[in-house]
Amino acid sequence: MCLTLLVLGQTGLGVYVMVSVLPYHGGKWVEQGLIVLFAILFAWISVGFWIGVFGFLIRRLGGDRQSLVRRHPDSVLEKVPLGPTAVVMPIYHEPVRRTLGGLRAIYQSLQETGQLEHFDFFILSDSRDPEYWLNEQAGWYRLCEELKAFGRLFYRRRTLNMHYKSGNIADFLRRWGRRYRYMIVLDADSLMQGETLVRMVRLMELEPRVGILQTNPSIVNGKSLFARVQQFANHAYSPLFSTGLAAIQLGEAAYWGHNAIIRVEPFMGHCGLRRLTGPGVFGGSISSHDFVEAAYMGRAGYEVWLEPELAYSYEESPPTLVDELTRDKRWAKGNLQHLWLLLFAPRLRLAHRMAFLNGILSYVASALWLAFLMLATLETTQLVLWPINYFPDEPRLFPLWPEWRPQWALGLAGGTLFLLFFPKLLALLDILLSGRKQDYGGLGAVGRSILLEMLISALLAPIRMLAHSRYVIEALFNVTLRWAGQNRSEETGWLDAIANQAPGTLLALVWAGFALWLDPMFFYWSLPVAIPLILAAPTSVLLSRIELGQSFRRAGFFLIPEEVKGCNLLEELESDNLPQAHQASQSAFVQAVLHPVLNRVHGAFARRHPQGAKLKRIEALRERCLARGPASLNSYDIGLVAQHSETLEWLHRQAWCSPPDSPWGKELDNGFRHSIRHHPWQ
Amino acid sequence: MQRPISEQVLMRVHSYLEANGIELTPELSLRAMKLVEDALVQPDQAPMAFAMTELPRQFPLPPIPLPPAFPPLARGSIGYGDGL
Repeated sequence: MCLTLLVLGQTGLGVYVMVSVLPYHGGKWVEQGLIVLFAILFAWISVGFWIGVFGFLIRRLGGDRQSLVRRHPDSVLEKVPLGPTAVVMPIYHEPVRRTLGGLRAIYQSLQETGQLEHFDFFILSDSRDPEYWLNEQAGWYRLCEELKAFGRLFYRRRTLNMHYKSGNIADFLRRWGRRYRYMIVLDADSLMQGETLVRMVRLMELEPRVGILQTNPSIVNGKSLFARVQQFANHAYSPLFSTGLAAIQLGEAAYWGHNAIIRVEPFMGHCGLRRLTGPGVFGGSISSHDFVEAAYMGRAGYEVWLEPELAYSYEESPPTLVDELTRDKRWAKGNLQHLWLLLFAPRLRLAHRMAFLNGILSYVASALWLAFLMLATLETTQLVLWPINYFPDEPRLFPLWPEWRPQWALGLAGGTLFLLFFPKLLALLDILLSGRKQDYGGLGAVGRSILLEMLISALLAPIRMLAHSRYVIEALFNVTLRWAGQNRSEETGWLDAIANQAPGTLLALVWAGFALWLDPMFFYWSLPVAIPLILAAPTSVLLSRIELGQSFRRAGFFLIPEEVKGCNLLEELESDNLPQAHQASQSAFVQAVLHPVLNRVHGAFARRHPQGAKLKRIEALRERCLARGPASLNSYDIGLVAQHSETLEWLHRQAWCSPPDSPWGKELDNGFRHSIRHHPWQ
Repeated sequence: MQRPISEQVLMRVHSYLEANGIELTPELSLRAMKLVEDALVQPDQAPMAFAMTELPRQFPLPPIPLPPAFPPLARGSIGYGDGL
């Protein structure tokens, strides 16, 4: 209620100033549109501002006394026995080495707590490309052997990938959910300390009304400059915002889809996701499932908590702007779907409907900002080029004199910037007052990092705005506005960046040129948006550079506590001693055929009794594969062959009997022998 | 220059034993060479095919313990909160 009053009051004041600034004070439809858009956007940033301020105040006053973790002292928590818990990691075409390396670090950390016996681990794969899932299976076996985790670390791959990640989790729950009281959901890049997992289970044991307990994952392991800026911003600002958010939401928080613990029974009973029945984007499977599951858990009478004080919970940032925007495209569509539930889902709590609205606005706000800029351009054009209209809308007795109040306009712009940037300064103050400045490399390092982060975020904001606007339009009108392929490599190349950003750059050049021709003052007003769009390609390329990120790190920019103080989980991850499941020179399929151990492993996963035409097809494929080598099969064919255990075994025997000058003989004599020499299996 | 077939067969046998995690002791090396000799003198099959077919019979390959891929099923159903 307090937040609502503050936001409404502040927005009312902002709208009053905005009306005063506009020449006709809202007397024309263009100005009325500007006022409505301004009100929504101003309210939106006001919410963020006050959450940051609340977070600062709560932290300065010693933390949130209402929070779940403060209800139970450590002395009580330590004595709570643990319920059976599944740690599940849904994956889909993820880098196996990183994913399983993270899982290994979590497993070992849990082992150190002495509570491993209460946990089972599940890798839940949705991968379709055999190169990925063969590597996953090999990596799983390798990890089981290394950790002695037989019977505790499991692997399951769905062959029918329905309903995205939530369908993968539901598939797990249908098969094994009844074995567990809790389920900890990880992302492919998640890292969590064993102590944190144990503490979460104990809190759930003590709080039977809690259905979901969400940690606030910190971003780590950033290599590129982009990722390092994101992780620094996350570490510096997130404590304030997450504390404020948690204090406002209490038991009606959102679920973010990973690094959270879920009470399995009510989740299975109430959180199934039906297909949406609306038109266009509002129909079909729900792609952003987490907010919906939290809302359904709340509807079932359970609480959902965000607990920022549950530390040592990590995730990673997309390495580049392109990767981030690719992810945002999915999220934008998923969040827009929530509008249907916001309006029509019965009996949801108001807080969860507000969470839907918040998620929707995360992307729609960009489109509204773009619309605001377009209307502002139209308004200026009318003022400059059109003759003054003293009776703009309807017949009236007295003329309406346009008036311009530049001081008010500057005040409004200054106020908006204050709302955007003041919480960041509060975050700096919080770091200083809580004695954490050394965790960021000292006062100078944290101060200049925040300044540079603000500059970079100002450069990125218009680029994100334009991209998000495009995603919203695409989702709402069910179209795809393609202008270039996405770059998915670790760094963004110049050609890709120019192709990706060219439309925005051209738009900004035209807009700024038009503004200059129209009115120099309007030109200056357009620059904070136009310049970042004009510089979008070099910004995207430079931010994606790993070497640049490391140079900034060496220069003391964007340091985070885990880098300054050290972090066992990260050190374990970076030790990177997970033996490779296959060599780069040989595909996972070749290894699956040739390696005696892997052949058995993959054979155990494969099906045994296909019949009829499918069996004949597989038999023809294996004959071709033996005679002409692995390159004779495409990805689909490899999938068929590698899912048939008898064929895998047959190919293994035949390949080893092949003459040296045959395709398989060459594979054995070249790459395979090398891999055995350098990476013996046992 | 292409290696003689005897060397190629011996290398293949060694590779397979190594891939199975078997350490090549002098005794095993002698047995491997005997297998190659048998492969070269038998008239029915190509030496490589004979050696690799015979290998599992003549060498004690270690068992490969496979971990269970998943635990026993405990089936349940997903509800949609309709009864609320």
